Amino acid sequence: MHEWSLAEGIYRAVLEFAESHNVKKILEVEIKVGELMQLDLELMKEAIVTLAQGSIMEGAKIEFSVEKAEFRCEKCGYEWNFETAKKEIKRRISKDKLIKDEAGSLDLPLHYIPDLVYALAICPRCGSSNILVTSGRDVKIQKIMVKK
Amino acid sequence: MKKSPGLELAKKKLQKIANVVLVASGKGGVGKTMISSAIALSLARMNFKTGILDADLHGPSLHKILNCEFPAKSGAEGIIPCTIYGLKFMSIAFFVNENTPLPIRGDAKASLVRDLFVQTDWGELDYLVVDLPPGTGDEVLSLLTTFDPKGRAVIVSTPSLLSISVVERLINLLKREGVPIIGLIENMSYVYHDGEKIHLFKCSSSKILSRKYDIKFLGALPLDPGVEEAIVNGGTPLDSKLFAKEFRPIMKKIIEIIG
Repeated sequence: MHEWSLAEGIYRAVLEFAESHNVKKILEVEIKVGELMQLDLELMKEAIVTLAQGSIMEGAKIEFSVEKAEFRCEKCGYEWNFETAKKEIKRRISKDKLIKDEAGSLDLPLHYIPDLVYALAICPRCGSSNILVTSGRDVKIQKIMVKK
Repeated sequence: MKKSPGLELAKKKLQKIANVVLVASGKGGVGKTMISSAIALSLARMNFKTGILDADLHGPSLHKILNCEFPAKSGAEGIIPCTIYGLKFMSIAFFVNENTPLPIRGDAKASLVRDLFVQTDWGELDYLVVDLPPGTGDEVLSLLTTFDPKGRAVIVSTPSLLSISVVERLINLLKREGVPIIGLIENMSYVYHDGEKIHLFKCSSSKILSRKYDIKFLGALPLDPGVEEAIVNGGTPLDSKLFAKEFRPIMKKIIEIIG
Protein backbone atom coordinates (compact mmCIF):
# COMPACT_ATOMS: atom_id res chain seq x y z
CA MET A 1 0.00 0.00 0.00
CA HIS A 2 3.04 2.26 0.17
CA GLU A 3 2.57 2.81 -3.59
CA TRP A 4 -0.84 4.34 -2.95
CA SER A 5 0.49 6.93 -0.55
CA LEU A 6 3.30 7.87 -2.94
CA ALA A 7 0.86 7.99 -5.83
CA GLU A 8 -1.23 10.42 -3.84
CA GLY A 9 1.81 12.60 -3.17
CA ILE A 10 2.54 12.70 -6.91
CA TYR A 11 -1.09 13.38 -7.80
CA ARG A 12 -1.32 16.26 -5.32
CA ALA A 13 2.00 17.75 -6.46
CA VAL A 14 0.91 17.63 -10.12
CA LEU A 15 -2.46 19.19 -9.35
CA GLU A 16 -0.89 21.95 -7.29
CA PHE A 17 1.47 22.71 -10.16
CA ALA A 18 -1.48 22.78 -12.56
CA GLU A 19 -3.52 25.08 -10.32
CA SER A 20 -0.70 27.56 -9.94
CA HIS A 21 -0.19 27.67 -13.72
CA ASN A 22 -3.85 27.93 -14.81
CA VAL A 23 -3.69 24.59 -16.58
CA LYS A 24 -6.89 23.24 -18.15
CA LYS A 25 -5.78 19.69 -18.83
CA ILE A 26 -2.84 17.51 -17.93
CA LEU A 27 -1.77 15.42 -20.90
CA GLU A 28 1.25 13.51 -19.68
CA VAL A 29 3.27 13.02 -16.49
CA GLU A 30 6.73 11.54 -16.53
CA ILE A 31 7.99 10.19 -13.22
CA LYS A 32 11.50 9.07 -12.39
CA VAL A 33 11.60 6.38 -9.72
CA GLY A 34 14.77 5.45 -7.88
CA GLU A 35 15.39 1.69 -7.67
CA LEU A 36 15.93 2.11 -3.93
CA MET A 37 12.22 2.82 -3.50
CA GLN A 38 11.39 -0.78 -4.59
CA LEU A 39 8.03 0.26 -5.99
CA ASP A 40 5.50 -1.84 -7.85
CA LEU A 41 5.07 0.46 -10.86
CA GLU A 42 1.92 -1.25 -12.14
CA LEU A 43 0.24 -0.70 -8.79
CA MET A 44 1.54 2.85 -8.67
CA LYS A 45 0.14 3.62 -12.13
CA GLU A 46 -3.20 2.10 -11.19
CA ALA A 47 -3.27 4.26 -8.06
CA ILE A 48 -2.49 7.49 -9.95
CA VAL A 49 -5.10 6.70 -12.63
CA THR A 50 -7.73 5.99 -9.95
CA LEU A 51 -6.91 9.15 -8.02
CA ALA A 52 -7.01 11.23 -11.20
CA GLN A 53 -10.54 10.20 -12.15
CA GLY A 54 -12.81 13.24 -12.41
CA SER A 55 -9.88 15.67 -12.28
CA ILE A 56 -8.02 17.56 -15.01
CA MET A 57 -5.47 14.76 -14.82
CA GLU A 58 -7.94 12.08 -15.92
CA GLY A 59 -6.75 10.28 -19.02
CA ALA A 60 -3.22 11.67 -18.76
CA LYS A 61 -0.44 9.39 -19.97
CA ILE A 62 1.61 8.20 -16.99
CA GLU A 63 5.17 7.25 -17.82
CA PHE A 64 7.77 5.84 -15.44
CA SER A 65 11.50 5.54 -15.80
CA VAL A 66 13.54 3.63 -13.25
CA GLU A 67 16.90 4.99 -12.22
CA LYS A 68 19.25 2.25 -11.08
CA ALA A 69 20.62 2.66 -7.57
CA GLU A 70 24.39 2.86 -7.48
CA PHE A 71 26.71 2.99 -4.51
CA ARG A 72 30.29 4.15 -4.02
CA CYS A 73 32.56 3.78 -1.02
CA GLU A 74 34.27 7.06 -0.18
CA LYS A 75 36.96 5.20 1.73
CA CYS A 76 38.15 2.54 -0.74
CA GLY A 77 36.48 3.67 -3.98
CA TYR A 78 34.57 0.40 -4.55
CA GLU A 79 31.30 0.67 -6.51
CA TRP A 80 28.33 -1.70 -6.31
CA ASN A 81 24.67 -2.04 -7.21
CA PHE A 82 21.42 -2.37 -5.29
CA GLU A 83 21.26 -6.17 -5.48
CA THR A 84 24.60 -6.43 -3.71
CA ALA A 85 23.61 -3.76 -1.19
CA LYS A 86 20.31 -5.51 -0.46
CA LYS A 87 22.00 -8.87 0.06
CA GLU A 88 24.44 -7.30 2.50
CA ILE A 89 21.68 -5.47 4.40
CA LYS A 90 19.50 -8.59 4.62
CA ARG A 91 22.43 -10.57 5.96
CA ARG A 92 23.00 -8.16 8.85
CA ILE A 93 19.59 -6.72 9.75
CA SER A 94 17.68 -8.27 12.67
CA LYS A 95 14.49 -10.05 11.64
CA ASP A 96 12.43 -7.84 13.97
CA LYS A 97 13.36 -4.78 11.89
CA LEU A 98 11.53 -6.07 8.81
CA ILE A 99 8.08 -4.57 8.26
CA LYS A 100 5.15 -6.89 7.70
CA ASP A 101 2.60 -5.44 5.28
CA GLU A 102 -1.12 -6.16 5.07
CA ALA A 103 -0.55 -9.10 2.74
CA GLY A 104 1.87 -10.60 5.26
CA SER A 105 5.06 -10.11 3.27
CA LEU A 106 8.18 -8.83 5.01
CA ASP A 107 9.86 -5.73 3.58
CA LEU A 108 13.12 -4.03 4.40
CA PRO A 109 12.32 -0.66 6.01
CA LEU A 110 13.99 0.90 2.94
CA HIS A 111 10.77 0.26 1.04
CA TYR A 112 9.09 2.94 3.16
CA ILE A 113 12.04 5.16 4.01
CA PRO A 114 14.68 4.78 1.26
CA ASP A 115 17.26 7.05 2.86
CA LEU A 116 17.59 4.58 5.74
CA VAL A 117 20.06 2.98 3.34
CA TYR A 118 22.76 5.19 4.85
CA ALA A 119 22.11 3.64 8.24
CA LEU A 120 21.78 0.10 6.95
CA ALA A 121 24.34 -0.32 4.16
CA ILE A 122 28.11 -0.65 4.37
CA CYS A 123 30.79 -1.10 1.74
CA PRO A 124 30.82 -4.81 0.81
CA ARG A 125 34.58 -4.66 0.25
CA CYS A 126 36.03 -2.71 3.19
CA GLY A 127 33.05 -2.53 5.56
CA SER A 128 33.08 1.27 5.82
CA SER A 129 29.93 3.28 6.50
CA ASN A 130 31.34 6.16 4.49
CA ILE A 131 29.29 5.38 1.43
CA LEU A 132 27.47 7.46 -1.16
CA VAL A 133 24.32 6.56 -3.03
CA THR A 134 25.22 8.14 -6.33
CA SER A 135 21.87 7.54 -8.02
CA GLY A 136 18.45 5.92 -7.70
CA ARG A 137 17.39 7.25 -4.32
CA ASP A 138 14.14 9.10 -4.81
CA VAL A 139 11.00 9.82 -6.79
CA LYS A 140 10.87 12.88 -9.01
CA ILE A 141 8.28 14.31 -11.34
CA GLN A 142 10.41 14.79 -14.43
CA LYS A 143 7.95 16.30 -16.88
CA ILE A 144 4.35 17.49 -16.92
CA MET A 145 2.77 18.13 -20.35
CA VAL A 146 -0.31 20.32 -20.24
CA LYS A 147 -2.95 22.11 -22.27
CA LYS A 148 -3.59 25.70 -21.21
CA MET B 1 7.35 25.60 -9.35
CA LYS B 2 7.10 21.85 -8.70
CA LYS B 3 6.66 20.65 -5.12
CA SER B 4 7.96 17.29 -4.01
CA PRO B 5 5.51 14.38 -3.59
CA GLY B 6 6.91 13.94 -0.06
CA LEU B 7 5.97 17.47 0.97
CA GLU B 8 2.49 17.02 -0.50
CA LEU B 9 2.04 13.84 1.50
CA ALA B 10 3.19 15.64 4.64
CA LYS B 11 0.55 18.28 4.03
CA LYS B 12 -2.09 15.57 3.81
CA LYS B 13 -0.93 13.92 7.06
CA LEU B 14 -0.92 17.30 8.79
CA GLN B 15 -4.61 17.77 8.02
CA LYS B 16 -5.40 15.18 10.69
CA ILE B 17 -3.09 16.73 13.30
CA ALA B 18 -4.36 19.77 15.15
CA ASN B 19 -1.13 21.00 16.79
CA VAL B 20 2.56 20.33 16.38
CA VAL B 21 4.93 21.14 19.25
CA LEU B 22 8.56 21.28 18.10
CA VAL B 23 10.97 20.83 21.00
CA ALA B 24 14.27 22.40 19.98
CA SER B 25 17.64 23.26 21.47
CA GLY B 26 20.75 24.95 20.19
CA LYS B 27 23.07 22.46 21.84
CA GLY B 28 22.86 18.75 22.55
CA GLY B 29 22.80 17.31 26.05
CA VAL B 30 20.43 19.87 27.53
CA GLY B 31 17.65 17.38 28.30
CA LYS B 32 15.50 18.11 25.27
CA THR B 33 14.43 14.49 24.78
CA MET B 34 13.46 14.13 28.42
CA ILE B 35 11.41 17.34 28.24
CA SER B 36 9.81 16.26 24.93
CA SER B 37 8.69 13.03 26.55
CA ALA B 38 7.37 14.90 29.60
CA ILE B 39 5.31 17.25 27.39
CA ALA B 40 3.88 14.35 25.36
CA LEU B 41 3.15 12.20 28.43
CA SER B 42 1.44 15.15 30.17
CA LEU B 43 -0.75 15.76 27.09
CA ALA B 44 -1.68 12.06 26.92
CA ARG B 45 -2.56 12.10 30.64
CA MET B 46 -4.90 15.00 29.90
CA ASN B 47 -6.62 12.64 27.44
CA PHE B 48 -5.41 14.43 24.34
CA LYS B 49 -4.69 12.17 21.38
CA THR B 50 -0.94 12.57 21.27
CA GLY B 51 1.94 11.37 19.14
CA ILE B 52 5.66 11.83 19.57
CA LEU B 53 8.33 11.69 16.87
CA ASP B 54 12.00 11.25 17.71
CA ALA B 55 13.62 13.30 14.94
CA ASP B 56 17.14 12.86 16.24
CA LEU B 57 18.59 10.73 13.46
CA HIS B 58 22.14 10.34 14.73
CA GLY B 59 21.41 9.82 18.39
CA PRO B 60 17.83 8.68 18.99
CA SER B 61 17.19 8.05 22.67
CA LEU B 62 13.47 8.53 23.20
CA HIS B 63 12.92 4.77 22.82
CA LYS B 64 15.08 4.29 25.91
CA ILE B 65 12.76 6.57 27.88
CA LEU B 66 9.48 5.23 26.51
CA ASN B 67 10.72 1.65 26.27
CA CYS B 68 8.02 0.23 24.02
CA GLU B 69 7.79 -2.61 21.58
CA PHE B 70 7.61 -1.66 17.91
CA PRO B 71 4.97 -3.73 16.09
CA ALA B 72 6.94 -3.72 12.77
CA LYS B 73 3.75 -3.73 10.72
CA SER B 74 2.27 -1.50 8.07
CA GLY B 75 -1.32 -0.84 7.03
CA ALA B 76 -3.17 1.25 4.48
CA GLU B 77 -2.12 4.50 6.14
CA GLY B 78 1.53 3.64 6.67
CA ILE B 79 3.79 2.08 9.28
CA ILE B 80 2.01 1.34 12.57
CA PRO B 81 3.74 3.30 15.32
CA CYS B 82 4.55 1.91 18.71
CA THR B 83 1.89 2.73 21.31
CA ILE B 84 2.74 3.30 24.95
CA TYR B 85 1.23 5.34 27.82
CA GLY B 86 -1.47 6.40 25.34
CA LEU B 87 1.16 7.87 23.00
CA LYS B 88 1.87 6.97 19.39
CA PHE B 89 5.61 6.94 19.00
CA MET B 90 7.99 6.70 16.03
CA SER B 91 11.78 6.69 15.86
CA ILE B 92 14.55 5.72 13.45
CA ALA B 93 15.75 3.42 16.23
CA PHE B 94 12.99 0.95 15.31
CA PHE B 95 14.56 0.26 11.91
CA VAL B 96 18.20 -0.30 12.75
CA ASN B 97 19.97 -2.76 14.99
CA GLU B 98 20.71 -1.38 18.46
CA ASN B 99 24.08 0.40 18.72
CA THR B 100 24.46 0.53 14.93
CA PRO B 101 26.07 3.81 13.82
CA LEU B 102 23.76 6.20 11.98
CA PRO B 103 26.05 8.02 9.54
CA ILE B 104 23.36 9.70 7.46
CA ARG B 105 24.38 12.32 4.92
CA GLY B 106 23.08 15.88 4.79
CA ASP B 107 20.49 15.85 2.02
CA ALA B 108 19.39 12.33 2.95
CA LYS B 109 18.69 13.53 6.51
CA ALA B 110 16.19 16.09 5.26
CA SER B 111 14.15 13.53 3.32
CA LEU B 112 14.60 10.70 5.82
CA VAL B 113 13.21 12.67 8.73
CA ARG B 114 10.25 13.84 6.64
CA ASP B 115 9.58 10.26 5.49
CA LEU B 116 9.69 9.12 9.10
CA PHE B 117 6.73 11.44 9.73
CA VAL B 118 4.95 10.87 6.43
CA GLN B 119 5.19 7.07 6.39
CA THR B 120 3.77 6.68 9.91
CA ASP B 121 0.10 6.02 10.51
CA TRP B 122 -0.55 8.69 13.16
CA GLY B 123 -4.31 8.72 12.66
CA GLU B 124 -6.02 11.78 14.10
CA LEU B 125 -4.03 13.63 16.73
CA ASP B 126 -4.66 16.62 18.96
CA TYR B 127 -0.91 17.03 19.42
CA LEU B 128 2.22 15.77 17.76
CA VAL B 129 5.35 16.47 19.83
CA VAL B 130 8.56 16.44 17.79
CA ASP B 131 11.87 15.94 19.54
CA LEU B 132 14.12 17.84 17.12
CA PRO B 133 17.83 17.10 16.87
CA PRO B 134 20.10 19.74 18.41
CA GLY B 135 21.27 22.63 16.26
CA THR B 136 20.01 24.06 13.01
CA GLY B 137 21.01 21.42 10.45
CA ASP B 138 19.29 19.83 7.45
CA GLU B 139 16.74 17.78 9.36
CA VAL B 140 15.65 20.75 11.49
CA LEU B 141 15.18 22.91 8.40
CA SER B 142 13.30 20.12 6.66
CA LEU B 143 10.92 19.66 9.59
CA LEU B 144 10.25 23.39 10.03
CA THR B 145 9.01 23.36 6.41
CA THR B 146 7.19 20.03 6.76
CA PHE B 147 5.20 21.20 9.79
CA ASP B 148 4.49 24.70 8.52
CA PRO B 149 2.08 26.31 9.48
CA LYS B 150 1.14 24.13 12.47
CA GLY B 151 4.55 23.86 14.14
CA ARG B 152 5.20 25.90 17.27
CA ALA B 153 8.45 25.68 19.18
CA VAL B 154 9.46 25.12 22.77
CA ILE B 155 13.13 25.94 23.25
CA VAL B 156 15.16 24.06 25.86
CA SER B 157 18.37 25.54 27.20
CA THR B 158 20.57 25.57 30.28
CA PRO B 159 21.63 28.55 32.40
CA SER B 160 25.20 28.46 31.03
CA LEU B 161 26.32 31.65 29.32
CA LEU B 162 28.10 29.47 26.75
CA SER B 163 24.72 28.44 25.36
CA ILE B 164 23.62 32.01 24.59
CA SER B 165 25.04 32.30 21.07
CA VAL B 166 23.78 28.87 19.91
CA VAL B 167 20.31 29.44 21.31
CA GLU B 168 20.28 32.88 19.67
CA ARG B 169 21.02 31.25 16.31
CA LEU B 170 18.12 28.87 16.86
CA ILE B 171 15.75 31.69 17.88
CA ASN B 172 16.72 33.69 14.80
CA LEU B 173 16.20 30.68 12.54
CA LEU B 174 12.74 30.04 14.00
CA LYS B 175 11.84 33.70 13.54
CA ARG B 176 13.17 33.74 9.98
CA GLU B 177 11.14 30.63 9.12
CA GLY B 178 8.05 32.12 10.76
CA VAL B 179 7.74 29.44 13.45
CA PRO B 180 5.94 30.82 16.52
CA ILE B 181 7.83 30.26 19.76
CA ILE B 182 5.73 29.00 22.68
CA GLY B 183 8.49 29.75 25.16
CA LEU B 184 11.79 28.82 26.68
CA ILE B 185 12.51 26.22 29.38
CA GLU B 186 15.70 26.34 31.38
CA ASN B 187 16.79 22.82 32.28
CA MET B 188 19.52 21.78 34.76
CA SER B 189 18.98 25.11 36.43
CA TYR B 190 19.46 24.04 40.04
CA VAL B 191 19.85 21.07 42.35
CA TYR B 192 18.40 20.25 45.72
CA HIS B 193 20.86 19.40 48.48
CA ASP B 194 19.49 18.54 51.93
CA GLY B 195 16.29 20.29 50.96
CA GLU B 196 18.09 23.46 49.93
CA LYS B 197 17.73 24.74 46.37
CA ILE B 198 21.18 25.51 44.95
CA HIS B 199 21.49 27.39 41.65
CA LEU B 200 24.36 25.99 39.62
CA PHE B 201 25.11 29.21 37.74
CA LYS B 202 25.30 32.81 38.91
CA CYS B 203 22.96 34.07 36.23
CA SER B 204 20.45 32.63 33.81
CA SER B 205 21.17 32.86 30.09
CA SER B 206 17.63 31.72 29.35
CA LYS B 207 16.13 34.67 31.21
CA ILE B 208 18.51 37.05 29.42
CA LEU B 209 17.43 35.61 26.05
CA SER B 210 13.73 35.56 26.83
CA ARG B 211 13.94 39.28 27.71
CA LYS B 212 16.07 40.14 24.69
CA TYR B 213 13.81 38.36 22.19
CA ASP B 214 10.52 38.85 24.02
CA ILE B 215 9.98 35.11 24.42
CA LYS B 216 7.97 33.74 27.30
CA PHE B 217 10.12 32.17 30.01
CA LEU B 218 8.17 29.00 30.82
CA GLY B 219 10.19 28.07 33.88
CA ALA B 220 13.27 26.35 35.24
CA LEU B 221 13.80 22.68 35.98
CA PRO B 222 16.22 20.97 38.35
CA LEU B 223 19.02 18.57 37.56
CA ASP B 224 17.22 15.62 39.09
CA PRO B 225 18.87 12.18 39.42
CA GLY B 226 15.38 10.88 40.23
CA VAL B 227 14.48 11.14 36.52
CA GLU B 228 17.23 8.72 35.49
CA GLU B 229 16.31 6.42 38.36
CA ALA B 230 12.66 6.40 37.25
CA ILE B 231 13.65 5.54 33.66
CA VAL B 232 16.08 2.80 34.73
CA ASN B 233 13.25 1.30 36.81
CA GLY B 234 10.96 1.18 33.77
CA GLY B 235 9.12 4.43 34.44
CA THR B 236 9.05 7.85 32.81
CA PRO B 237 10.41 11.27 33.85
CA LEU B 238 7.00 12.07 35.33
CA ASP B 239 7.51 9.24 37.85
CA SER B 240 10.12 11.37 39.59
CA LYS B 241 8.11 13.25 42.19
CA LEU B 242 10.48 16.23 42.19
CA PHE B 243 10.56 16.55 38.40
CA ALA B 244 6.80 16.07 38.07
CA LYS B 245 6.14 18.77 40.70
CA GLU B 246 8.47 21.30 39.05
CA PHE B 247 7.30 20.46 35.53
CA ARG B 248 3.58 20.87 36.30
CA PRO B 249 3.49 24.72 36.25
CA ILE B 250 5.55 24.73 33.02
CA MET B 251 3.11 22.36 31.36
CA LYS B 252 0.22 24.51 32.56
CA LYS B 253 1.77 27.54 30.84
CA ILE B 254 2.35 25.53 27.63
CA ILE B 255 -1.29 24.43 27.59
CA GLU B 256 -2.48 27.99 28.21
CA ILE B 257 -0.48 29.16 25.21
CA ILE B 258 -1.19 26.34 22.76
CA GLY B 259 -4.81 25.92 23.81
